[in-house]
Amino acid sequence: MAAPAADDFRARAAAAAGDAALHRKLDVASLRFLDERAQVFAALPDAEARRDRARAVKAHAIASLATLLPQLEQRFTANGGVVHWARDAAEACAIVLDIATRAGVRLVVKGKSMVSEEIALNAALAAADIEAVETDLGEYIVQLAGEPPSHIITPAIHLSQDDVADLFARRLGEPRHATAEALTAAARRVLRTKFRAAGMGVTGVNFASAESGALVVVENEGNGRMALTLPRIHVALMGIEKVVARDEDLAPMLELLPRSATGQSLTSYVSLVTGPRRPDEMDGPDEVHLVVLDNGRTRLLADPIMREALYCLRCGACLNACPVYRRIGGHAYGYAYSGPIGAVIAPALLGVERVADLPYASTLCGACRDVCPVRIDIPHLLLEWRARIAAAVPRSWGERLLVRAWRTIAASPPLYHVATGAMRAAFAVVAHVPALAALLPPLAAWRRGRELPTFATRPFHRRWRERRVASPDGA
Amino acid sequence: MARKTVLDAVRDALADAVVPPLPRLARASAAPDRHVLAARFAREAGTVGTIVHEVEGLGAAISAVAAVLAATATSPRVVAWPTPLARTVATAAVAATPGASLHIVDDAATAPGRDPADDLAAVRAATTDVIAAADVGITEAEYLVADSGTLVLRAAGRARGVSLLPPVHVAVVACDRLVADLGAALAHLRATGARDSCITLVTGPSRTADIEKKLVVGVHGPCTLHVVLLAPPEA
Ligand code: SF4
Repeated sequence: MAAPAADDFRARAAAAAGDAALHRKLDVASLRFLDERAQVFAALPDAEARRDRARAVKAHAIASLATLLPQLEQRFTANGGVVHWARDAAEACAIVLDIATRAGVRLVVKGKSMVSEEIALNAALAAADIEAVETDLGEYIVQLAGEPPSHIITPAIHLSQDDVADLFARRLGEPRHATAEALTAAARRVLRTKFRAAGMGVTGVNFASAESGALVVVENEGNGRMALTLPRIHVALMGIEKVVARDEDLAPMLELLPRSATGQSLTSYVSLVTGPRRPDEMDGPDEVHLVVLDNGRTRLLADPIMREALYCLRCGACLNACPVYRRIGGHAYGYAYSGPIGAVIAPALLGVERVADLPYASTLCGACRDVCPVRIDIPHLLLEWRARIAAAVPRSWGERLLVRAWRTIAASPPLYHVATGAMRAAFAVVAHVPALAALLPPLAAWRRGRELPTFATRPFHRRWRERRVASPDGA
Repeated sequence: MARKTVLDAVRDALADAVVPPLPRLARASAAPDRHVLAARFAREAGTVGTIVHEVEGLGAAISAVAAVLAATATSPRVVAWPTPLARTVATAAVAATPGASLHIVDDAATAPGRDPADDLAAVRAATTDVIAAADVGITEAEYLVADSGTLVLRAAGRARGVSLLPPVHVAVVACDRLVADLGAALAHLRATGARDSCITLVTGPSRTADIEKKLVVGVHGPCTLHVVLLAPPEA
């Protein structure tokens, strides 16, 4: 995905909100994710205490980045690796490109990396005539389809099995109506030859330990292991927020990431990479490079309220839990990071004026905060963005008047009862004569895609009083 | 230049930040008894599709591996690590399996058809070719993590490809390598001062759920994972 065009979010979201087929696909996958996540957390002893611990590990690490990053660099270099620093996406791409061209690399195999999507590495490589092949099955599917991924964990969540079968029939000559097993086998066949032929493997980094300089790559398919084992050069892309202090901090993180992401106790594979092949090892890359990327993260870091967004493990649980994400999908957000956490970090990474609609793409129901393994208070951060966006725009006198009136009414029970009574009457009329709603422009806009609620015939406060009179003990 | 800019920005951003204390991490109290760990490992490994063979004595381990070989292909091509247990078991199991052939990946120099004038890269590519063409890879786990049913594999003196490229992976391990949790395995590794370029944690065969969240086993890595858990014969 090239330069993100998050600015026409409303149009994309509106289109996706009317796409019933998309909703079905998103619901099938996300609800199953949530279900499996809930089961595996229920079976984990002291799950809540473990979440507190994982959050504390990240809180310590993020506050200590100024010492942990140089320490990681020193250890990783001592282990024989090379560390590169990139201020922004262009710089990161230039670094990878330089390593590739210098070694005469023509083909790059890629493990899953959200940073790679963020910096649009594939486009940069293609411009230099270097072929980059995604090897995670979901990433491979969306690459074949010419689309960006639409979910952090399940890139092709917006495609059904039939969609993928059609795509493989068109692009790979596979039979139509293939099963998931047959499609997976086809990808295995095609990509095996790529792994063997590639001169460079690119992966992301889920965690790094400053203590030992180990990079942790978490995956299920084995494509990550291929990419960091078979090609002569391994390049790992990492945001500055991935480092933790100690090796022993990795265990609590590895305990929670797969459980939140896919409902697994642990993924099939976790690689702890500390550098290039040692002389007594029979395979593994001769060169290992680590690209450490800022690209706006230090803006989040400098913001004491938003800082906790850097605790994110990219598990994707908040996407699955979000009722808005499940209706509009990842593409609507127009950015590599979608869903609730995308709506929090995009304004910082891209500039709030470019994506000012994203913090409003939430019902603030709190489901994201409830599932977040490191308890990031996403609704609070979204509200904070809204407050900042609102504060930057002068309020009209009409709006100010409305707020003042509401404040007076809400603070006085008699006024409140009169006002709600009037509302009830008005809604009853509008319900009978729907055409009336069109007369009130704000109401008409609100009604697009919504049903007018019907008021209860007797308001709550009256029923409450009657109940108390009927049973004076208040029960 | 970029390094300084990024690190300066990090330092400035955190100028007023208070560093909260590192959490105390939970540590398993006394290591549970071997049988408890073995049972837990077998249960956890089983839930992710690992086939666990609990055997007593080397002879039983060899028979278990020979049975896997015979069931895999008519003349299975086998590659194995040169570590003592893997070498012993692989050699005997292949000898007991009609038509089976064995390549112990112990040194680049042993790659078949190697001309001494070849450069190292070519030798290594040839070794990887042999591994990639094999039906079964036999390795030896450094630790087994009971809580998650995980194998901990080292790289020193070994080829990582043996546990990755063949469609069937068999790991042999003595049951005194069982530990309770991942934290314990990582602590043990650190204590040994291992300098491997890569430590690999393996929990089940390779898998994906990228198409409609349907579980498919066997993507890029092995489709089948066997663990032969070797207890000393009861006296
Ligand atoms: S914000 Fe929390 S739930 Fe969302 S992806 Fe990050 S870690 Fe997962």
